[in-house]
Amino acid sequence: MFKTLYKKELLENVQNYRFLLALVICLVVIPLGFVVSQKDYADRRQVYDDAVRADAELRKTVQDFLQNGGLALRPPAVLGLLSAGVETVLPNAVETRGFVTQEGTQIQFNNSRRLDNPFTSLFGRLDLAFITTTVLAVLVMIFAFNAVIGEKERRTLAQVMANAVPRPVVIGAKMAAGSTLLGAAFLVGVLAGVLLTTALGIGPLAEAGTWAPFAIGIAASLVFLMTFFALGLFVSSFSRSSVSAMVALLSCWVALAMVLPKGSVILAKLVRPIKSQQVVELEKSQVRRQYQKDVDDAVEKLAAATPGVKDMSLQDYMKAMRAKAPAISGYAEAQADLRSQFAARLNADLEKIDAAFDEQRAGQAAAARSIARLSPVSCLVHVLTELAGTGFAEDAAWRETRSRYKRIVDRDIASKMDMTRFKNLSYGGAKIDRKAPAPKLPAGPVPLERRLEAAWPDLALLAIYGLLFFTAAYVRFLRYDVR
Amino acid sequence: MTRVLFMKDLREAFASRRFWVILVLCLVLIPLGVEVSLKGYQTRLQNYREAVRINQEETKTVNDILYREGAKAFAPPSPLSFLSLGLELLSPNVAETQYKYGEPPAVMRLSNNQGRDNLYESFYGPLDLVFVVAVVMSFLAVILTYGAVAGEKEQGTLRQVLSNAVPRAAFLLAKAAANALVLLIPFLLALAASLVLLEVQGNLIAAVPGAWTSIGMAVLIAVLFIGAFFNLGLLVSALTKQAVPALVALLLLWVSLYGVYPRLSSAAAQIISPCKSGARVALEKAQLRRNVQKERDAEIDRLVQTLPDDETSPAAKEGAKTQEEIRNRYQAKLEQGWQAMDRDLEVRERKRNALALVIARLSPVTSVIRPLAELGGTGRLEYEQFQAEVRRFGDVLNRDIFEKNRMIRYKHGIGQDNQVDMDAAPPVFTHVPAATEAVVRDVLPDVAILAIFNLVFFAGAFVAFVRYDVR
Repeated sequence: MFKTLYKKELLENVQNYRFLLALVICLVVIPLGFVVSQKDYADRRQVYDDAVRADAELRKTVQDFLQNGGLALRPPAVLGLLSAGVETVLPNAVETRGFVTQEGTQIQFNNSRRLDNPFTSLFGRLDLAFITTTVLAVLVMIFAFNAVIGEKERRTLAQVMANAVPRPVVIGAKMAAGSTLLGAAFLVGVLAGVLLTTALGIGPLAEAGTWAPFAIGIAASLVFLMTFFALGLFVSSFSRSSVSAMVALLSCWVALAMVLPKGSVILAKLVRPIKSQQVVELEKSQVRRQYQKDVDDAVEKLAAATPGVKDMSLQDYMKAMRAKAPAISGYAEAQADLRSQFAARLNADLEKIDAAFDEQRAGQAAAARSIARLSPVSCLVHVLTELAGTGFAEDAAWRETRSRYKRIVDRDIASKMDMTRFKNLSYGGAKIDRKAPAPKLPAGPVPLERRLEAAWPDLALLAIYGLLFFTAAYVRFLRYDVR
Repeated sequence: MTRVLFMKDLREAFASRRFWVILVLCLVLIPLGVEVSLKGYQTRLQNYREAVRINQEETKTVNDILYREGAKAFAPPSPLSFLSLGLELLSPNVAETQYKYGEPPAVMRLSNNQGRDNLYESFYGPLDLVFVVAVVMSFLAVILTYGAVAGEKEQGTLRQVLSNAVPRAAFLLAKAAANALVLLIPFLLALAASLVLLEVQGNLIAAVPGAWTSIGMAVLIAVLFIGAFFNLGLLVSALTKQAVPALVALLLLWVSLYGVYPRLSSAAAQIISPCKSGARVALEKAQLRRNVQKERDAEIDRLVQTLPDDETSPAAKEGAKTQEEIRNRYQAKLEQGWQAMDRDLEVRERKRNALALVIARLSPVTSVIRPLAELGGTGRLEYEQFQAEVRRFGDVLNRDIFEKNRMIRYKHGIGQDNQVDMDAAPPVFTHVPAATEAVVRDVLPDVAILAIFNLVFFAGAFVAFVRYDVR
């Protein structure tokens, strides 16, 4: 019985304009979106590769590093075609700021960017997340809006029900047929997109490690299409006419795709306001300056309190220094201890500021995300964004990268900057091997496991929403009085 | 006759549930959007003021600029961003000097560090007026009109009406006018309420020069845009015989015009008129700088070898002068190269962006999203204005500070030719927003385009309706 009804539903949808419409739209929009996204990625990748080469040329040795500052570039996301996410506002790199001193390295995000194409920023990108949640969602509505109510209006449902046809089979067949056809059109579009980009030499799957996230992203999109179809069935079985079903579905879509996600940001900002990164950086700068002043005062006091040094003129000190007088070595050691104590305090304070800010940001993000998860549209967008490496996991990873880079530079360079100061004289730095290779931070994409870790709750929610909508449609359909 | 029909349609429209739904939606969404945008603006303004304050404290003297913090320029947030947040979170909001000691010219690097403060807002987009107009109101226009003619055809009421001596023009005009009022009255009411709310909260608009002109233009554009979608709905409804196909066709048109077409316009323009990215040009400029400096250093090296050991001798002083000339020559060469690169990029970008705009304007959505961003002070004009101001500020810094602080190489060391007062107050960046007249001039073509869309769609609906065979 299920097979017969499934076939009937398939044939009905294939024979009318809907499937053809879905197929044409998928075959045009998805490949176009893929080509545009991949072309953009190819351009950005080339710039990144050139920048990495230039960086390698510019910072070969520790001496170059000290002269030009350090830099670790963030590569563009290979799978930006899944979702452009927040890639345009993520840092391009982490870099050192100012001189590297034994007080520690200042590492900041490099957010330098021009707006190359204001229209892309104004209108948004044609990535898979947008195509699925907007273009295909509308297609799903067109498929589903009169799946039940249409049959009620035409009285064909009453005829079907007059026979010994179990209701679960009827609604199950509708769900299965609609999902099959939508899924088929979608997969054909995706396949065409992959083939076209591969033929143009900009295929997304040519790079290592892209297959799995891409496949999961496509599977998540299929789950979303089924979830939305189930919502369509629910609304269709609830409505009194096809037109009201369509209007209700459209309203649901606007609320789920646009109003609720935007509302989540508003609520999160009200509940958890935070400072800006700019202000935090400036506050850190102030703290550093204060520490520098404290260190200078402490060094002066040390010089004034060290026997054999306190009454020395600069020239006497230089003479004694060249003669390697024990008093000078003792003073230099005491000053190094003092500086390392201050450096430890400074770094602890700066880390505290960063940690407090990161905690605030994470709190606001968690609030926004939790509210947004009430919408299956947000769930899919989150899944695709995390899988693409253009989302919040990437942002968190770059916060860690900043700390890691600081540790590397502190270990390899800052800790060896054994500068000693006496009056206007600063000397030292002899422990550093200036010809050694400059410290490098190999930047790679966030591992798939971590991306999945960030994406799985949304993926699970998406499936749960699908089940809920289908159950609701099923219950409503069972309660339908055919008379 | 038109009046009778208009009054009938008006009564029908105002008595229907649709009017109240639209009224409630507008009264909730528009003031909420304006209020939230205002809060966002106030937060950004507070952050901006804090950043300026701390920066002023940190850079009190030329010495601080040269050896500590460098110079910074901050872009203030736009008070009219409730019209459209546009590019505000994406475009650079700070510029800082990239200066290597003794190596002018200093370059102002543009950065954006407020996008990360608003990751979720960047992700989902704001609830600004342009969203309400471009998405919600256009969607409501579609819902309101899909059955205007097709519904009457389907129910057979149109046949009954037209069997009387009712001019078709009067029928369509009355229907269009009555339904348009159903859409526009709630919109304008909600907007007026929002503006009153805004003024009550802090005299925000009155304090901004040219704000009322910008708001007036934005309202005009919004009304024309809603009208364009309304007339498009009438056209499709007049062309179809049933309400459901009309709704499906309108939905597909809406998705194409709002979602797909504008997004493809910039990609199409990039393919037709390719243009290098800013990041690529920055790399090329850095490469040029390295090459020029290498050449310069080689020439100075050769010169230094000929200098006497005594740095105070006349020959050494003459050598320092020659060195200065060499530095100036190479700096001029570098600046010339950079200017050529910038000019080339600017010309190509202008061409590509103009083409993208021409393509995108085939959708009425473009003519509301872009102009509202410009009028809100968050569009391309404001971004270009900040860029130009930063360039000027960079020139002032180079002229007054960096170029007066040069290194001179001697045979046995490096000296400094410092002609700048280290304790003097450094130049301060002041921001002047793009002039309202320039913005209005920039958006006028969109007003004309929207008016044309209205005319064309209504004329199409009229012709289709007149040609409708009632049998």
